[in-house]
Formats: sequence, structure tokens, C-alpha cells
Amino acid sequence: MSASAQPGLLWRLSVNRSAAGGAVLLALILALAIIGPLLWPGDPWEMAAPPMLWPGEDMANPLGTDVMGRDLAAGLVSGARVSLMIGLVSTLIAAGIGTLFGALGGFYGGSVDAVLMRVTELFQTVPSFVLAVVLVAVFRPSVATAVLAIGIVSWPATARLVRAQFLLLREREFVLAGETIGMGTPRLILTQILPNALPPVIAMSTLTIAHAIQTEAALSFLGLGDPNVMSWGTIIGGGREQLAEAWYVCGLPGIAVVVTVLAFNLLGEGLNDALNPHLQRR
Amino acid sequence: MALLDIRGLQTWFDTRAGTVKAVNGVNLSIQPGETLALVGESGSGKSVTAYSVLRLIEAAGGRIAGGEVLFKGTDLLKLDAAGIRAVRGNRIAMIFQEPLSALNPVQSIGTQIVEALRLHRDIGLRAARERAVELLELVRMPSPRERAEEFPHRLSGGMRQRAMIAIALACEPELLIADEPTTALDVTTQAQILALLRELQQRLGMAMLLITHDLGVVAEIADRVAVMYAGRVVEEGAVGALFDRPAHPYTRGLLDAVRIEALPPGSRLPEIPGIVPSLLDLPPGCAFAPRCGRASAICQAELPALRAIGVGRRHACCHPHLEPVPA
Repeated sequence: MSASAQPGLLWRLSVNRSAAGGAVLLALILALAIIGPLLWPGDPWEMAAPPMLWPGEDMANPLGTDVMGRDLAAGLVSGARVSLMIGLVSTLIAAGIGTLFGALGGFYGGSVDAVLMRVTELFQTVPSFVLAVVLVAVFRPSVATAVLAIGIVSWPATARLVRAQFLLLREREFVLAGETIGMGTPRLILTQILPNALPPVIAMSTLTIAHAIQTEAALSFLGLGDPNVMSWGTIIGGGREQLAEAWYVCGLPGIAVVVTVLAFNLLGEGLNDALNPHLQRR
Repeated sequence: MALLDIRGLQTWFDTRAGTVKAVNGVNLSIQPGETLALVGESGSGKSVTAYSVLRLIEAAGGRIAGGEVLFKGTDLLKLDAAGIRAVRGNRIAMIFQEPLSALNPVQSIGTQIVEALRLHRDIGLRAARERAVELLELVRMPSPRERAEEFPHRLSGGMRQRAMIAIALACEPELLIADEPTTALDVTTQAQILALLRELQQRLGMAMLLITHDLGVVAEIADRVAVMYAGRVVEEGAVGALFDRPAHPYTRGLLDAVRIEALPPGSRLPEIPGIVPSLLDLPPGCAFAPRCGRASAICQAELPALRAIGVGRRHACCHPHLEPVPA
């Protein structure tokens, strides 16, 4: 029965190994992003020490410095904030657009659905990274354009999921019962269908965050990130010329991206299991 | 004046195989405070008739092809979208067969009652919450204040049905449509819910349109019965009169099928031969004629009209039974 989405959710998440693992990793990354600037208060762009210090060589710069002598620890902490923020905000945008398209298409069906789904397919057929690059390049690269571009290329999957949910749920009797007590369409959508459609959307959105973080790193690597913001992709891009002599400059932020994406993927998969009533007894 | 007057209602479903005339010229009326039971087998059009009253039939892919549904003189079929919404849940409410699927799984039942109240009444959130608890008390929900916070899946079948009745009664409707309200419940709970419905109906003075295929339920709480067959009303009358003297052979067959305690042990159970005709391809005459032992040439040729036989008694048969059922 799909009735029992809410109670015991936290408990089910805590016994779900991948969800618990993802949540712990994520908590560590979040803690780093929040308290990191207190430990390494310097500007990540400041040339604070001799260049190309290896990690551990000088305890003032525990993770070493890059080719310009910028402290990598400060850079990584700044990157964590940028990545999490861009991941979250762009996913909110994607979830918003996707839910709007999917909800309207799934609820009304017919020609409304046909038009909205053709638009969705249009976005799906264009390679999303290329579209993001074009969008950022057309406007001036900044955090805002990166967030918008990533949001705009990430919504089609959410739209399809929400549409499928709405197609199923609008046939359910409690929606008819809502109509019977005199609810209008907006109220039916917002109070009856949407809350029941959300659990899988939340699970999928964690995966969308992971993908958004990768996309942001890739954009920054290509030099399309905000030139005033030190993100993981910026550090990797800056270190690629010295890959042979100082692999750690690319390696450390690379590991940070991998760990963060892994954390979101684990959490998303765990949420999916915990929120999907049909898989509960696995 | 009748509270609800259905005249010549036709509700059709256009399918690939043709037009299914699920309701084909139904006439019914309900007086204020009265309980009318609509009986018939599956596919006889009784639910479609009820859904047509609230115009909930478009969502199911049907259309109302003709007729009038007069509620206190206003034709509900002619109201605009806002007009019909103002009637739904406010002046005419509905309860469903399966309370678990008819309640929103992610809202507490208290919230759902509040929602129903605030749709039609200008009432503050706090007052609405108080009223919700009162309504749960009215439907005899045990510990109503605590239950208001519960989600539907945490309640028993009987409690869920009580919650649904509370939602339906939130705005004190003048007419309650109950679509097989006890079918999904076990026998003891059934009896409790029926007693509750009867009591509430008398207390609030509302009329009830009860859809059922259970003649025992009809005998227990209805004032009048209308029997439907293949999308038409074939017989109508006060419960006592109709049960004692069923005029239409179909009604008589239905009643014979449940009067089994009068049979000698070991005898074959009575049944109505044949099957319900396809609604896609109805015979030109009486739809029951192919299954009827009394049918003659005229039955196959022309559709018998509903004719009055005494006060509030009508039937649509050319060869009605006139004698009472042997005791």
C-alpha cells in the first residue's frame, strides 16, 4: 500500500546502509564547508606560500599549494561551499520547472500534455552539457549563470517523473473525492496530488544535485566558472598543466568531487528505497 | 417540491466499440429528509446516475447526453464550473465504497475535514479544527481529538468510513449520496455504519441517495427503492410495498434470490436466467425481455414506459405481477 510514506521514514533511512553512509559523508562535507573557513581563514586566491608545496611539507599549508602558491586547503573549503550551493540551487530550479511541466502535462493530458512533452523531449535530445556550456558562454560566466544553466538542462527527467506520477495519481479515488467536496483544479493539484507525487521526486533530486555538482566542476574546468569564485573545477583546471609534477593539485579537488557525488548518490538511492513502498521488504 | 428531481437523464460513454448507454432515461425524485435506495446489479447504471448528479462523469470519460437534474429547482447540469463546485460537498456530499482509497494518504483526517469545511465556509483555522473534532465526535469516532491527528492508514476500516462520513457532513449537506458505503466493511462494522447513517440522517434532516446491491441494507434504512436494470429504472416504490408486491419480474427475481430461508432444504437456489444485455447493443424493446419468463411479442417490440400503480408506485412492465409474494 502506498499509504505509509511518512511514518518511520527516518528509522527506515537509518537502517538503510547506503542512505546512512551517504548522510554521514554529506554531514562531513557540510561540516567542512561550514567550519572550514574558520580553520583556514585566508582568501583562497591569495598567494600565501611558495608554489607547489606538497601536502604535509609545511604545516601552515597542510594540503600544500598550487603553482601560484595558493593554499589548497582554503581552496577546497571554498569549493565545497560553491559546489553545494550551486548543486542545491540549480536542483531547486530544475525541480521547480520539472514539477510544473510534469504536473500540468500529467493532470490535463491531451494537447497540453503533448505540447509540454515535446518541449521536454527537445531539451532531452540536446546533449545537456553542451547546452550548459553554450548558455554560460552566451551570458557572462558567473555563479548565477552557472546555476541557471545547470538548472535549465537538468529539469526534463524530473518533468517525466512528475508526469508519470500525476498520470497515476489523478485516477485515484481520493482525487475524485477531493473533487466531490468541491475542490477546484489548483487545489486538487496542490493538496491532493502533489504531496503524494513528491517522494520519488525528492529521491531523484538528490541524484540531480550530484549531477549538478559534476556539471559545475566541468564548467569551471573549462574556464566557464565565475572568475571570482574558487570552485573545485577551477582548482582542477588550474592544476592540469602540472599534472605530472604535482598531481595532488588536481587529485585533491577531484577526490572531493567524487566523494560528494558519491554521498548524494548513496543518499538518493537510500531515499528511493525508503520512500518506495514496494521495495520495503527487500 | 422535491429536493432532487432527475428527469430523463442520459449518461453515455463513447468507446471505440460504440456508445455505451450506461444511463438511458432515468427519472427519479428524492424528497427532503428521505432515503432513496438505488438497487441493481453491477453495470445497471446506479453509480453512474449518482456520479452524474454531481457531474463527476466527465473525469471518467462519459458525457451527459440529455435530461435534467433539478436540485431545489436549479438544473445542476446547466451550472458553470464554479456553480457546480459550490454545490459539491456543500449542499450535496458523497461517500465512497472504499474509504482507504478515498482518503488522501498524506493528510491527517483532521486536516481533510478542515479542508472540506474551509472550501465552503468562511471559518478560521482554529475554529475549523475544533469543528473537525466535533464532527468526529458526531460520527462516534473513539477519542476524536487524538484521531484527528492520525493518517488514514493508521485507522481501522470502520474508523476510516466514519472519517469519510465526517468529511461529507462537514458542511451539513441537504443530500448525501452514499455509493455502497458498507460493501468494503465486515458484517459487524456494516451494521454499525448503517445505524450511524440512519441516526445522522434523522438528526440532521438530510436526504440520502443510497446506492447498493444489498437488499438487506435497503430493508434496514431506506424509505423508498428504485430498481435499475440496463440503465433504466424498472420499478419504484416504498420499501414495504415493493418488497411485498414486486410487480416487475426482475424485481421479483432479485427478491426470490435472497429469500432462501423459505425454501425447502436441498432445493435448487432460484436464479434469474441469462445475463445482463450489453449496453452497447440493447434490444429495441424491454431490456429484460430475453431473460423474462412472462415476455411476449410486445415486450420485444416496444420499450415499456414507467407507469404509476398507486401512490409513489411505478413500474415499467407490460406483464407485471399483480399478486403479492407468497409468504
